[in-house]
Amino acid sequence: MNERDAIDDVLEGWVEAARSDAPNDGTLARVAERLPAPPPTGGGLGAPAAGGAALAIAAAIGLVFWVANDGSEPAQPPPPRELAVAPVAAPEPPSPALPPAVEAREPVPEAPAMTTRPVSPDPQNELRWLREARSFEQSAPPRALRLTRRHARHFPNSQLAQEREAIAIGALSASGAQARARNRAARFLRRWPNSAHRERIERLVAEH
Amino acid sequence: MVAPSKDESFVAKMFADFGTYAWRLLRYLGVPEADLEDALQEVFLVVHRKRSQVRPNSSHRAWIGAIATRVAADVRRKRGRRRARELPMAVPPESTESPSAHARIELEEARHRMLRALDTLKAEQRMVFVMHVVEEIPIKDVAEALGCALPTAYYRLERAREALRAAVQDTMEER
Repeated sequence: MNERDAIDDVLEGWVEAARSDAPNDGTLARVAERLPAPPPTGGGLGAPAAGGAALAIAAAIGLVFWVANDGSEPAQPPPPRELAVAPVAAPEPPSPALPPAVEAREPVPEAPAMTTRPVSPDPQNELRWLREARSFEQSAPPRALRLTRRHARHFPNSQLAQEREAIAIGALSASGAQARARNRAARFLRRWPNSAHRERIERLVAEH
Repeated sequence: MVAPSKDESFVAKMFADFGTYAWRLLRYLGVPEADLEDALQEVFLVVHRKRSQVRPNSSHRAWIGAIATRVAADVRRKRGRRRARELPMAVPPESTESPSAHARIELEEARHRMLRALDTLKAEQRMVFVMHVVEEIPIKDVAEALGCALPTAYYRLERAREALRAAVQDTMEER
């Protein structure tokens, strides 16, 4: 592995750690209690928290907060323009070497790659990395995830994308990141409804 | 108890669905630990205030992301970047990952390093990186939310990646 790959692997590890970050329940409960109840005719800030609103929020937290915090909302059109945040600085000149799309080529399962380098010239790596990833799926899930990300980076259009994604879902599940595993499993099944991995993936996410 | 009104249900659902996401955005956009709760509350006060402007089929995730970036920028402006760097790890959050102590320590260390590396970025680069790479929001939606052109968003993303790679390299050389 060259130095650039090593750096990208470390950075992806940091990103993965950030993605699984979450506040403690006390933080959410305290903020929920402080959210205002709307006045009867709507609009306005500063209304004191009402018991009904706080209880509704607290109940909702218990039911769905863990499900939705990792991007389970389906892809939808962009937000309304009038709500967009104003730019914080003058825009830089566009890069002449901009990639056409980092995330749009793969509408579903891949986590965003850290780099847009072209496909590796060494096809041996394609099978080797997946074999290694499979072997680490349960014993060392972070390592398996790193290998699947590296594979995705070098072989974005691989015929083994299904296999790669199945391993990543298994590794997420093994690492305890159930919400992310479930989310990715749902995307997997939408993309490949007749996959040979379907039964295993359904079992994996149903077990937790 | 009086049943929640439609508005109450909306705010409650938004908070339940996106509270953790907004908290994480605020944290990785550089809001100091001590200000996170207030900032999170502020995000959902804005959600509450703007609720009538939400389109039925629009992405709530990107919309709330746009609000969170504005709130984070306000907080950082008020507190100053220096202060923001001093406080990022005051209260370790709970994790959804493996409960093993060793794994947890590694996870916290990785988050700490991510936060420190993000502190080296320009604010606009940080916003694009956190929204697109950490939160996996499509780059088109990120550009829309930040009010910049798509090529500009890509440019910021690439600059952010370069700076973060340099931060990783520094870390590796320290060891």
